[in-house]
Amino acid sequence: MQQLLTRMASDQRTPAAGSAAAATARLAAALVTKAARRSRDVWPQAGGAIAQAAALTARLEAIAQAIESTYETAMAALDSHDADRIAHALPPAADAALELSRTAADVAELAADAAHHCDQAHHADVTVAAIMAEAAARAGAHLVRINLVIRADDGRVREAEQQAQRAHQAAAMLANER
Amino acid sequence: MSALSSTTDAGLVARCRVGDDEAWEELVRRFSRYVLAIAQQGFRMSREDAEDVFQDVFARTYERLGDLRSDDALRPWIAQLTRRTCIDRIRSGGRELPDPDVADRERDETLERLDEALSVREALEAMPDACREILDRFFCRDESYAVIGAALSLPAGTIASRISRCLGKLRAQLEGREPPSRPS
Repeated sequence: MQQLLTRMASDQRTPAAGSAAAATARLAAALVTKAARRSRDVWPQAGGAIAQAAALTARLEAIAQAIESTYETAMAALDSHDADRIAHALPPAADAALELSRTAADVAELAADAAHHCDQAHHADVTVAAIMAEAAARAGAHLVRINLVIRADDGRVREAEQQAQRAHQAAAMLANER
Repeated sequence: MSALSSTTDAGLVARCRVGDDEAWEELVRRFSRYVLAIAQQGFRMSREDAEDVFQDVFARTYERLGDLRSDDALRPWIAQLTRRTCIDRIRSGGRELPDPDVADRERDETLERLDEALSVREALEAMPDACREILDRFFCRDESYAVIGAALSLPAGTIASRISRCLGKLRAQLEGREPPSRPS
């Protein structure tokens, strides 16, 4: 974590916004894992939630790497002012951001599922996890929308918004339970 | 999935011994990825070398199936045959085997991991279709809950619970299994 924070605050181009959002989603998945681990006595399927959180974390790690590398490539293309290079380099950055929205929305749904089964002493943990995952999903959708080669009517913009909405529903439902 | 996919290893061996071609095809299908994984991950062979090992191992398996003393020991027997074939191939190519102690330890760990993966795969194949499909989609194909829900016409917000329940069944299936016997 300290290493990520140091890198994030550095004067290098990456890691930047997308990586911060991916890290937020990973923290959310870790909170779900904690709640599940501490609920084994009351939740027979806690192991299933832990396994899903681990799978989502692995996906988020790959997404974080893709976000960094596609962002570097996109920025280098923009610096070159070469239209062909820009046209090729920017869409993968949007794809990586869309994947972040999808996976973060899954983390939010997993948190919602955990909230209904875990030891209720950890309801706040999974609620905060859902709120953080929603933030990451929304951040991903924002990065898709502002990508310079993506038009407003592009299917990726619509899907990213839907994923952010899915995450919002999960987080809002939990926040309203207490 | 073939009709024989739920047949035990011992059942397959018995059918192969009486010349059942379908059983032989299932045996090769069941262990093909295992043999390739031992060669590529355990012995770090190239894809081409691993494919040669694959041909040798299944040719020898076909010829020597009668030597297998316990039909239940098929998996460790194939693992041992694959290891020997890999070592022979490396030596015949004039290549040095890496430091034997380190290499053996690493290889044992890899084989243990592969055995575990194969057990999970076998248990997964014995699961009801609905569970197999949802676990495969989430863990193997990396599909999101939304994609899984849409593909299987399942209500949103229920996918994570279903996956957890299916994992519980998979775990019970694995815990109810006998550990593989030693090679005969």
